[in-house]
Amino acid sequence: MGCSCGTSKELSANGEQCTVIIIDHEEYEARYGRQKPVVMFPIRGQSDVTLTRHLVDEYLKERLSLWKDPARARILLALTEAVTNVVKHTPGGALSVYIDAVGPRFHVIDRGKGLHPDCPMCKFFRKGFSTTASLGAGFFVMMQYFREIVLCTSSRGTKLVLCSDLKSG
Amino acid sequence: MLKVKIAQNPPHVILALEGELDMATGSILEQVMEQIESRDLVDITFSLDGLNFIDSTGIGQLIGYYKVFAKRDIPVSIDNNNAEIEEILALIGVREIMGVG
Repeated sequence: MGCSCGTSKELSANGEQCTVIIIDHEEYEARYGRQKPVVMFPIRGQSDVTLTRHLVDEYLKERLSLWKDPARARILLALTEAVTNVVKHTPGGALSVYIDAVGPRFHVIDRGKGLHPDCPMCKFFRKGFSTTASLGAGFFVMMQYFREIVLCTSSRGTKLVLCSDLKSG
Repeated sequence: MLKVKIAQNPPHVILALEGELDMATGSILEQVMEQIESRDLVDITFSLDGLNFIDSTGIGQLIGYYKVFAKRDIPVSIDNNNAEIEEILALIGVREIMGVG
C-alpha cells in the first residue's frame, strides 16, 4: 500500500478493500468540521475501552436495523482497537459517532503527540508493526473490518475516522 | 466483565474464561495467574469457549503468558470452540505462535 501519499487500498480478510486516506487537519475540518455527532463519549482511561464499546452497541442497537452480527461484532472489535490505542499511547480523547447512509462512522480523536513522525505512515497499518511491546495488530484489525479509514495526525494529536458499511457486510 | 474460573487445578491447569478480555479486564486474569504461577505446573490451558469478546490486547496477554512459561518449559495452549473468537484468533495469527485446541 502507499506510504504518506493521499490514498491507498488494501484487501481485507474477507476480500473487501479498505481505503486508507491520509489528510491534514485543515482537510479534516473541511470534510467534517460542520457535522454534528449523534453521540459522543470521552476516552479517559482503561475502563472506557469496555464502556465505550457497550455504550456504542446499546446506542446503535436501538437505532440501526442493520446493526447485527457478524458485522456488529467485527465493527465493535475494530473500534475497540482504536479506543485502546488512545488509552495506551495518549493522555486521552473522545469517540464521536455519526450515522451515514451505509452505516455508522466513528471519529476517534486523541490529544497525543501524533503517530511517530520518523516512521513511514504505511508501517502503522502493517500486521506486527508496533512502537511499543504490543502485538501491533490494532490498525491491521481496523483495516479488515472498516470500509474506509481517514487518518489525520500531527503533533496536535490524531484524528481517526472509521467508516463502516453495513449494507455490503 | 471477565470471569476466570480455575476449571482444573495444578499441575495441569485449565482456566475457563467467561465474558470479555480486553485492556480493561486483563488485570482480572493477571490476578489469577499470579495465584498459580508459583505452583508446580506441568501445563496451562486457556479455555475461551465462554468468552464473547477478545481483542488484540487480550490475545497479546495470552501470548505473553505463553512466552513467559515457555522459559520454564511449561506449555501454554488455547482451547476454543467459539467461532467468533476463532475468527479473531486466526486474523491475529495466534496459531502460528501457540497451540490452539
